[in-house]
Amino acid sequence: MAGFTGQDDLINQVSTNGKFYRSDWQKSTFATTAHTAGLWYSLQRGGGNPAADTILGTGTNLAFQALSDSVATAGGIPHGGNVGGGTGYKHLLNAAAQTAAATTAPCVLMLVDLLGFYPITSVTTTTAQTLNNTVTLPRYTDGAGVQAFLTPSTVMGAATPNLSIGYTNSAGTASRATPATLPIGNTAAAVTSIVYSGTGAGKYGPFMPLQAGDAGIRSVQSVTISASYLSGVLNLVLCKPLLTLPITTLGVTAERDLVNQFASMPKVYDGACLAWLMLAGAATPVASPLSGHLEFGWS
Amino acid sequence: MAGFRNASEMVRAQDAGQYLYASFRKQPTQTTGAGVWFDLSMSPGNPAPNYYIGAVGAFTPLKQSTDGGLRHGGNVNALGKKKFLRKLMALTPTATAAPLSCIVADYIGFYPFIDESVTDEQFLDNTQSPTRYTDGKGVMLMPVTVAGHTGGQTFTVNYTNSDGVAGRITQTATMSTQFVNGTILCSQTVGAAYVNNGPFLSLQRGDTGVRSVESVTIGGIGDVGLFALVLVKPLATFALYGIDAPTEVDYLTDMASMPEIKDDAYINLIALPNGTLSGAPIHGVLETTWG
Repeated sequence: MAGFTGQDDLINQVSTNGKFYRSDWQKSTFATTAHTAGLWYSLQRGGGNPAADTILGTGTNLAFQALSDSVATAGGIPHGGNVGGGTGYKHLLNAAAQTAAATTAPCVLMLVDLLGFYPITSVTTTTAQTLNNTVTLPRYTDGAGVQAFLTPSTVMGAATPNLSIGYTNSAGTASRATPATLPIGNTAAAVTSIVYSGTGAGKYGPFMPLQAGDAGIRSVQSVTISASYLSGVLNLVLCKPLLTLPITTLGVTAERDLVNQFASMPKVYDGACLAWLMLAGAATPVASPLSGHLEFGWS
Repeated sequence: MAGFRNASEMVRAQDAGQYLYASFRKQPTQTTGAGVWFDLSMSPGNPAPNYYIGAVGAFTPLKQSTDGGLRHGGNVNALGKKKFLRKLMALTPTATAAPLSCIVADYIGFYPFIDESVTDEQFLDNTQSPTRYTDGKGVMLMPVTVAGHTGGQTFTVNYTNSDGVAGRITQTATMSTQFVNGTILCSQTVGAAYVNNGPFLSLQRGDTGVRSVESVTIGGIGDVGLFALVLVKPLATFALYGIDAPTEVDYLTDMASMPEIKDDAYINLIALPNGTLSGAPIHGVLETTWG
């Protein structure tokens, strides 16, 4: 049986059976474009340990590609490999992060399991574009809790189109749609940014809003860019958020005990491709480093 | 069976004396800068500083029994037991040293005196092997300045990963312009040239640990300094928030983890300063338990 039967079992599994893994990570903000306060970014493409991803933007246009920790080009944070033959899970016990880079704090980090993405190179098409779902979700296959965000792997053009998706929700209901007010893409949206995040009308973050009553995305059937984005490459990424970790102050480690402090112990499934999203609280210079650790236990 | 089956066993172990309070005081003399990680093992205090002395380029294991480090008690594995970090308390009375993020690490060993002026590939000697974490799982690479330099040059490391695959190459790191001994060479912050920097070298995509290092290559025009390349296993994290109260962490109830401390481990600290640590004493107590 996966999971823990109680505190004693957790102590036994971690100390006696050694079912514990610590992962130290370090990620820099993107090396080319500074962060803007109030926008969300993905740290997946930042340098560090693990190295920057090189997979977003690749593959067949509009076709879903699954991501896992074994895809080296995805740059997922290691979590100790499979513990259940590919279908098991660990629990996240602790998380911490810190930065001492000028103006990098405050910020909010969100750990997500990246499930896969649809590359969108046809960013000048203004009609609904059908997505290819030959490949399906590798984890959270019913879509419960699965969210979507749009991020460029090549800087976008000078345009501000409305953005929407048509999807099947986690209950299996098709033809669900992004509700009005639609998210509005930022002009010249930078690589790693979440294109519709920010402040003001039409800004959301970090995830695409879902139709009322929905709690997850099983698959996405279409994406619509209301006006030509002129240039660039977008990626519609599906992910499962796992925890939030605010960094309040430069040099002060943000810590989360997910057993006793924030009793949640998020599950990290075999194959999970872990990455951080970041809400910039201040204008953040390029290549500003953040570091920290994740600790996992399992039975 | 080694370890604790429940909280009751842990309490009984403490009652039976399988528990150690060990104080430490590290008081750097070096002027550190904000945002550049620093190796407190090279600082004066208690335990005595470590100077990374060994034959040039030859792996040199670090052990409590021969080299010291933060005290954690004797060997217990032969008794059928394992030892764990249970609690930590730390404080500083010096304002410039707070806030301060710290990592408790097992320093497995190091390759001494890598010459930053040599731009040919420098091959390292692995006649001696690590005595802990021999498979390399979770083991990180930490280059530490032991002779000052200018900084700004790049370097890469050729290593064998924790799966036993040789010929792996780190991401390119850029040397810090901070030059005091103890500076973690790859941790200068901000700027596109430093994008791969952090407390540890960035490994090749897909790698999660290092078993051994085969060579180092200095890029650009080289520099004048020397560094030690240290194999470390990070164990625990804590932070000093201010000078008005000590930090206390119970690694069972505050951060459910209880990291294991291997027999004869050489334990020490690295820190992320927010200003200079020069003259700032960092006092603390490690509490370990075994069973």
